[in-house]
Amino acid sequence: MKEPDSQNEEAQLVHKAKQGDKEAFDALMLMTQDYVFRLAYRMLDNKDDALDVMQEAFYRAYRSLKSFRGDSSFRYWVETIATRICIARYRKKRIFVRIEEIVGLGKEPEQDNLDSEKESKILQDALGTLTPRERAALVLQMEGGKSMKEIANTMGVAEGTVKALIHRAKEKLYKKLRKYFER
Amino acid sequence: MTNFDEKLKELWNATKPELSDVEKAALRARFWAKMKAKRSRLFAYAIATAAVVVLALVATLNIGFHKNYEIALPVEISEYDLYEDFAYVSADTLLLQLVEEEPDEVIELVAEQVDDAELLSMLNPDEREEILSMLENSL
Repeated sequence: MKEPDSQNEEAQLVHKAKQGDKEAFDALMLMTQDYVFRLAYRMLDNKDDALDVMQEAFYRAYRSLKSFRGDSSFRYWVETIATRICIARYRKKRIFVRIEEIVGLGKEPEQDNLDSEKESKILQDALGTLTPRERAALVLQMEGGKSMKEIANTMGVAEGTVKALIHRAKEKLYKKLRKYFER
Repeated sequence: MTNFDEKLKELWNATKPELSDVEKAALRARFWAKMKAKRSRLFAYAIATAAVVVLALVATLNIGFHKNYEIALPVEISEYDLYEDFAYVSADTLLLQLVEEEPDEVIELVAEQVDDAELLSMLNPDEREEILSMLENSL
């Protein structure tokens, strides 16, 4: 939950950005880019893809800034845009990965040197077993600390659907990560 | 599952992806560069669209082009350009090049084009007198 001062500051920046103040929009990007990056990275497992999603999300936000009524926070608005871009991209990516597996062009396992890299790879592999919607719901919960209702609003689905998606996602992760956690 | 949730949270936090300050600055710089490029493209597109609309209007309304023969149509402009290209080449050079390509054809073509009266007018009085006396003798 954001502090009131932060909310006021954001509202002022949004107001200025709507008037065409580029510095204000730049400040809004600065305030939200870490979170949007983590969200996109967790969805797509790739830094370049995550940066692309950020660019596109901020571009769409900038273009339709005048239609932003300020009912929610700017961060929430950009997050919604980014989540939907991520789901679409992840869907395509999964199809390509599947095709690569079928024709035998899958990536060779990379040599990870650091423990943190190994852990990242383990988590990425586990997340790779999730469907786009399962992954998006889980990432929004884990990364954004959001309630089911907030996730439902962001994804444009019913709250019950989010509960089911997260439950299924965790079951799949459990199967993949159980051995790693039991070491 | 609660224990699993905790462990998952630990793993999640331990693998948190981060952007460096340089990457963040580069990202915003790229964003503004992209915006500028898009605006430039949009501006160019608007001008091109306006030009097309004006041309379409002129063509639709047929604003007097067919009545004004002094206005060069595209084909005529092309011919004019062709003429301009050869305007600074001497006639001898042109003829030499043509004759070297197809001598017989060019000579025949020139012969067909030249009128007898015109040929006579090109002669000086002495040459003309000489030819006339040759004709008298032959008759």
